[in-house]
Amino acid sequence: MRAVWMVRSRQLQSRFRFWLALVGYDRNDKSLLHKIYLVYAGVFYTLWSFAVLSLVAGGAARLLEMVQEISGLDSPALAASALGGLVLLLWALLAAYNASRSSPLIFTEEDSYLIAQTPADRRSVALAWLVGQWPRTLLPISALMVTLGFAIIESLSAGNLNASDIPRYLLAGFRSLSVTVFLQLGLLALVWALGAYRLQSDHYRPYSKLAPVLAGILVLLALLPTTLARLPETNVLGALIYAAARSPFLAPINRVLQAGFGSTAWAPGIGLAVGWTILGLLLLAASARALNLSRASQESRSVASWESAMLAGNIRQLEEISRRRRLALGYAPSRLLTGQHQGRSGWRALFIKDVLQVSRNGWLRALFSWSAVTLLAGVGALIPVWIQGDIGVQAFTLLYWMVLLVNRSTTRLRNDLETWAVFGQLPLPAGRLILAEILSAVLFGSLATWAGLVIAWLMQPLLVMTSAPAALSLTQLLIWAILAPVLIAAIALGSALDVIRQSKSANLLSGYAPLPGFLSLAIGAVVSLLSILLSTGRVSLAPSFLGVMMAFAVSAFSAYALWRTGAERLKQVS
Amino acid sequence: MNHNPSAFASIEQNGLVARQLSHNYGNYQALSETDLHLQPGEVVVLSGPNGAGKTTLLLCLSGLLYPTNGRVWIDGHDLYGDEVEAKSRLAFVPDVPRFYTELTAWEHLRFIALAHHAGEGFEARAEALMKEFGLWQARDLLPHHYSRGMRLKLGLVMAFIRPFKVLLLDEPTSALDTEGLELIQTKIRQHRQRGAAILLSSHDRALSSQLADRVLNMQAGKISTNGSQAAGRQAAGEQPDSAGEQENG
Repeated sequence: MRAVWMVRSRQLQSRFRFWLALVGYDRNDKSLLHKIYLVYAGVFYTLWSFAVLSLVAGGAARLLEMVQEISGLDSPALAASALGGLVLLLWALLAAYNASRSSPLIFTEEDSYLIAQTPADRRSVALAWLVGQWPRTLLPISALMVTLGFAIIESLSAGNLNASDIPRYLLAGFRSLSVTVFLQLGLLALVWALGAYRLQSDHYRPYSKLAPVLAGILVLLALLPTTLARLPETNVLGALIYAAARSPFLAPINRVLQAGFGSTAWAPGIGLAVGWTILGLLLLAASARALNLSRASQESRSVASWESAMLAGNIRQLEEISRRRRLALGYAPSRLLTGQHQGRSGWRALFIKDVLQVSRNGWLRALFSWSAVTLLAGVGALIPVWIQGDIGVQAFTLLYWMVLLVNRSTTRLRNDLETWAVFGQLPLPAGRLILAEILSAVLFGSLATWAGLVIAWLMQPLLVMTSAPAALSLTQLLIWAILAPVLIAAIALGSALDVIRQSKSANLLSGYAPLPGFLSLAIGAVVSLLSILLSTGRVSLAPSFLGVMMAFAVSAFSAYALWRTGAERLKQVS
Repeated sequence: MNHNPSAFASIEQNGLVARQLSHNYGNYQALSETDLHLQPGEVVVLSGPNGAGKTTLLLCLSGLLYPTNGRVWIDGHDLYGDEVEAKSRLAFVPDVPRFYTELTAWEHLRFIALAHHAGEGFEARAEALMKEFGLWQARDLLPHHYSRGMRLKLGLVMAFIRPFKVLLLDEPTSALDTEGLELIQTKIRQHRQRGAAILLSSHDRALSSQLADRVLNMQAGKISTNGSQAAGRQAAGEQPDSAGEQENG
């Protein structure tokens, strides 16, 4: 038992230190200045949190008034308890749904060696892990309840608050927080009890997956009689909110929240909240007695890896974990790679392999990732219509369009570079390898941009203001449509060169390909700017037709030069 | 330093030729200037302690690490000047192979075969190889679900599925079971018989004595020993076939 708590407390200390380091805490700095800074930081963040919650409370007060109006509840406290209760129930049902499919106890790989294989008391392990994971779910729910507590005071005072109301304000926040802490812990422990029950010994309990669904149906049934009784007086939403506050079946939760929001006495409410905690912990202790830690570890290791990659900001690892989660255990051979091999040999095999990889990750996901390019192309084209003469906003939109293309166009190349021992051995000319890698990006980037331009053209009549600004000219749209593919090719090849330039063989062999950096953005910005200046005739020596031709030539030449340089650099990765 | 059994090898010669090959990681010289020649049908084992530069040498010879100095010819083709011809005759298996996350083991083989224009008779070859290496039942799984040994076997199968005249193996036995060890030895012998030049790094002395025509000992980035015919191979009475006449795969 002591060993379990020792390991867990070390982990929690380490995690706590990570967050403290973000606000400037240095455990090795024992100086007075540092202590003064910490006091300052503590006061600052407390006041900041209070200020933010108070600010949000203004909006929440208006929400409570609306809820009161549509539901017919006779006080803001009842409206707050109805809203808070619904949010808590939804959160608990969602958490139970997750716990019925994947272990709520998150074990890292180290935990699986240190804890899962020891004969440690499973109840201690469950409790220690609950303590560690509780704050992250408590924090957002507490923030909501405290805000609702503040909102009740705002609502009751009709916006006439002054400094003398601060104690009342703080007391309302504390009151709602006090009951939330125990109620939420009780519900979380119940959810974990369900998860632990599913993971007992080697029992396979598929029916436990149905428990959250049944609980959801029961909640709806519990709300139904009161909702139906209320319907003649209000609409469905209003009746449902009324039922959430008044239904006798939800009284065990409502009583707690109403005590927290001051519509009933605090002492019985906090007593009931503590009762929820005790019930939850007892059930967790009972179901965790035979908890199979190996199964829990097996189910949760990827979640732990994902969390540690998130904390470290390791984008590549996050992508890889997400990819693996999306994929099945295996697949029947794809038709893309089978059949007549003549048409699929050489560089085409690389392209087909890329198509297969994208399809395994989901076409919808791939299309969605390009939809932002469509949006920015459309918005960029419409801005002169929408906001007359605002070249700054248009330039910013174009810049963001370019950043997206830089990022999207190197995805395939980076993926292949991360499999360097395979990719680097392909008997294909380096130039053709690069072309195969950016082909889909240029194709989809152009299609997405064209779609944006078409949408802009169609939407133009809807956005023209009464002052009748200059319309988006069809000629201008056509010029952009012609320039887009070659400009996108130049941006993609510049980004590819940047990625290759930064690549180190040792890193690639370990599966780490660099992200496009400043050079990609600089190349993209210069080529885009030149193309736009030349094509729009803003450079005096270029009349419109010649300007477009020159813009096309500049982009095409840049693309060619970047492609040749990239191919040379790909042969020389060291 | 010359590690050519026939004094100065011409670059037009078949097999593997490296001239004045060296590599630095910043100021650290991982590989000192090295000359090397492997004749067709010859098996050379690189031995030496960890950090001696074996992997760096193999990476430079495979084209995955651009050398600071020197050049490499594969079957007479410059690895960095005529890379398509050179790479179509070369296969390298790293000690820890990595694979595409979305492709199954079978699809990896198919992709490699197609990229190397070796799609003819693929199904039969791939099936035979996967059965030999015990991967047939797991052919439709994604490789990240494989054990370490299975991943190494898949890396080896990916090398054997395509034609090559030079084979480079970095610690090919490090994660293999007993059957796998025997199989890799058989495969190396088969490809030597077919005229492939094979260079492998290994700490396994038994493997060296059974397979190696020469053993090169590396120390601190230098090849310190120009080895001789291994006793085991002599005892077995094996002779390389006519050099480079037959393509492997």
